[in-house]
Amino acid sequence: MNDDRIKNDILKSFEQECDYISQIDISEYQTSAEFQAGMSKILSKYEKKPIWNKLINDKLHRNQINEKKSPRKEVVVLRPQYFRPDPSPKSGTTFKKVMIAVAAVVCVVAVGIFIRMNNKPETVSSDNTLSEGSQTASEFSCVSMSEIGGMEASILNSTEDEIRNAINECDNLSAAGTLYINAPENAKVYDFTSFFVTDYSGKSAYTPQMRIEDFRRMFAYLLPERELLEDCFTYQWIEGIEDSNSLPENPEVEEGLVKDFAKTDGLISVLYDERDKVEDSPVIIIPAYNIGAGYLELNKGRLGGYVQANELLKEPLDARTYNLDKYFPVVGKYSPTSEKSFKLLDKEVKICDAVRFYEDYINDMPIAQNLEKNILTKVQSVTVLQIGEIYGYYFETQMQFRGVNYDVRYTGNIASDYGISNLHGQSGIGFMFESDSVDIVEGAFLHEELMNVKNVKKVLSAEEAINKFSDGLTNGVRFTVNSLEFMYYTSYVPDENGYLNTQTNEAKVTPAWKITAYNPNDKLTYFCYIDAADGSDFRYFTIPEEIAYD
Amino acid sequence: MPMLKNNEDEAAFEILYKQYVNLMLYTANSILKNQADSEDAVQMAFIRIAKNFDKVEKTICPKTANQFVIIVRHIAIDIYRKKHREGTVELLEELCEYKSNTDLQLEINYAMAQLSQLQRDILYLYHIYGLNVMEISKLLGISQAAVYKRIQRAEKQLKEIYEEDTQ
Repeated sequence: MNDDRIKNDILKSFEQECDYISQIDISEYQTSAEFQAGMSKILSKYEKKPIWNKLINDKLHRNQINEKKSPRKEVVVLRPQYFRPDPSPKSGTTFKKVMIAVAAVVCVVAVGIFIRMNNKPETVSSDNTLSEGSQTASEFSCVSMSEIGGMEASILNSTEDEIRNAINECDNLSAAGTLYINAPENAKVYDFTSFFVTDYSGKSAYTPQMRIEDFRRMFAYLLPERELLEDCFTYQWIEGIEDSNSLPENPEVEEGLVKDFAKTDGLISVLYDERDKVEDSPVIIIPAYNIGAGYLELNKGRLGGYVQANELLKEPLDARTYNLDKYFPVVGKYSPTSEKSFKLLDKEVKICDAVRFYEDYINDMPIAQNLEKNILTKVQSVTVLQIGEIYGYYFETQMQFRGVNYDVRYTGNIASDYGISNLHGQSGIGFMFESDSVDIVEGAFLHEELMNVKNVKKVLSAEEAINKFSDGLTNGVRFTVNSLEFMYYTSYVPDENGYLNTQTNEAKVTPAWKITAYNPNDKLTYFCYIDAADGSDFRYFTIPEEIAYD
Repeated sequence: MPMLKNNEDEAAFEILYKQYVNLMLYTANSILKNQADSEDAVQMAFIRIAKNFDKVEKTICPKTANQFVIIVRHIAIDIYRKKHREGTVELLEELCEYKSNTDLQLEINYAMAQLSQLQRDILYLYHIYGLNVMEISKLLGISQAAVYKRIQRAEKQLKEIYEEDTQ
C-alpha cells in the first residue's frame, strides 16, 4: 500500500518539478566565450585520441558480453576527489584537467585488459641491489624481483594504545572506537615506477597459443572440480598492427571456439561463458590479456543458484552481477583482521579466516608463463551481506608489494573531475558465502612492471606521521581518526603535454602514511597522506560519507 | 568524443548540449553564485553525461531537462562543498532548493515536499529514470553505498510521513 503511494507521490512530484523547470526563465543565462571554446574542444578535438585503440581488443568481447544485458562493475574503483590544501579550481584550467582525467578514467577502467608486452628486461642496473636512474617507461627496462634488494626499514614499533595516545594528544584528532591500523613492523620499502607496455604487433614471443594454455591452467586451478566445456570457450582474434596509432576503428575480427583456433600470431582475447549451455550455476571467466596481470572476472554462479532456489530476489541474479551490496542488505563493514564470525551457507566462519582463504586462493593462482609474480592481492575491507537467512563476505581488495599494501581506491566524488595525479592502480572485489569456496572474483593482481626501483631506508614513525597530519588539518575541528595505514601511493606521470601517457600508463609509486578521518562538521571523510620518506607533501581528498569499521 | 560510442551519439549529445546548457548554467549558478564556477560545473556535468550516455534520456523533453538539472546540481554542490569545507549540510540542502528569479513557485506534493531536493533527486533517478544504484552512483559521483542509503532513508521518511498522516 505504502509502496504504491510512494511511487505515486514520486511521480506526481516529479511531474510538478518538470513543469516548474520548463517555466524557468533562463534568457539571461549565457555561457562565456571561453566556456564555449572549451566545449567545442570537447565536442571535436578528442575524436581521435588513441586511447581507444587500447580498448579495441576488449571492446570486441565486451560487446559480445553486453548483448547478454548483464550489468558489470568496473574492476577499478575510482578514487574520490583529490585536494591540495588550496584547491579552488579555475575555470581556465579545469577543462584541461578534466580532459586529462577523463582519459585517465577511461584508461584505468580498461586496466587489466590492456595488452601487455611480454618484454624481458633489456637492461638492468649493474648494482645488484637496485635499479637507479630515470628511465622512462617507453624504454621498456623493467626490473625482476631477484634484482630488487635493499635494506629493511623500521615502520611500526608502537602498540595500538600508543598510537591511540599519540592521536588523542593532538588537539584536532581523536581515535575512533575501532581504529584500524595497517602497517608492517619492518619491511623493505621502495620508491618506483610502474607501467604497462603495449604491443599491437601480434608477433611477440608470448603467442596466442601460450595464452590459451595459460587460461586452461588457470581454469584447472580455479575450478578443480569442474570440466572445461569447450563449447563455452570462445575467442576473438585480430591481426597484429605495427603502428598502434593507426589502429583501425573497426578491424576485421575472427571469432570462434578456442578448440578450433590455430593461428600462431596476432591478438587474441578469450572468454569462458557457460550461460547459454548450463542452467544451474553457470560459470563465467573473463581473464586479463596476460593472466595474473590485473584483471580477472570469475563467477562460479553458486550465489545465483542459491538465490534462485530460495527465491530471495524477484529476478534471477545474473552471472555478471558484482554490485552485490545493491541486492542484499549490508550488515556492516569490517577490517580484514576482524575476529567476528557469521554463519555462511555451511558453517560459521571468522572474517579473518575467510580473508586468509580468499587471499591464498588468488595469490596461488598460476599466472601467464611470461610473467613473474611480484604482487599479491590483499583484502582491504570486508562488507558482510545478509543473504536470506545466511551471510556472505564481500571483499574489497588491492595490491601489496613486499609486505606493503597499495592504497585502496574508494568510490566517491570522482577524482577525474579535477585531476589525475593520484588516479592509478586497481582495486577488486571478491565474494564468499561458503567456508572453503570463493564464488566471485573481480580483479586479481599478481604482476606489475617495475622500473627505477629505489630503496627507501628510513621512514617516518607512526607518531611523527600523526603529528604531521594534525599540523596539516584545521584546528577548528576535532577529526575522528578511523584508520592509520602505511601504504604505497600511486600517481600518474603525465607526458610532455601534461596528459596521461596512454602508451604506458606510467605511474610513480611512493611509500606514504595515510589516515582516514571523519569531520563531524562537514560530514566528510578525509583521506590524508604524507610521504613516508620525509613527511612532506601533505595532501587530502574527501568523500561525503563516513568510512568506519564496525 | 572518445566518451561517446558513435556518430549518432555525438550528434544527439550536441543537440542536448545546445538545448540544456543555459538551464544547467542557471541551476549551477543558483548554488554557486559565480559564473566561472558555474561554467566549470556545467562542463563537468556534460563530461559526466557523455561518459554515461547510455544512462541519460536523449529526447528533448522535460524528463531529460530534469535529469540534466539533477546531474549539474550535484556537481555544483560538490564544488560548493569543496570551497566551503566548514559549511554544514543543512546549508547545502537549503542552497539547492529552487529559488526562482521570477514569481514562479514550486508546488509539490505534500509528502515529497518534506524531503530535501537531494533526496527527491535520488528517488527520481531510481524510480522514474529506472537507474540502478551503480548507475546513479556513476552519474552523481557518489558511492553506491551512499546512493543505497539515501534511497532507503528517503523511502523510510516517506513511510513515516504517511504513518503520521493516518494517525
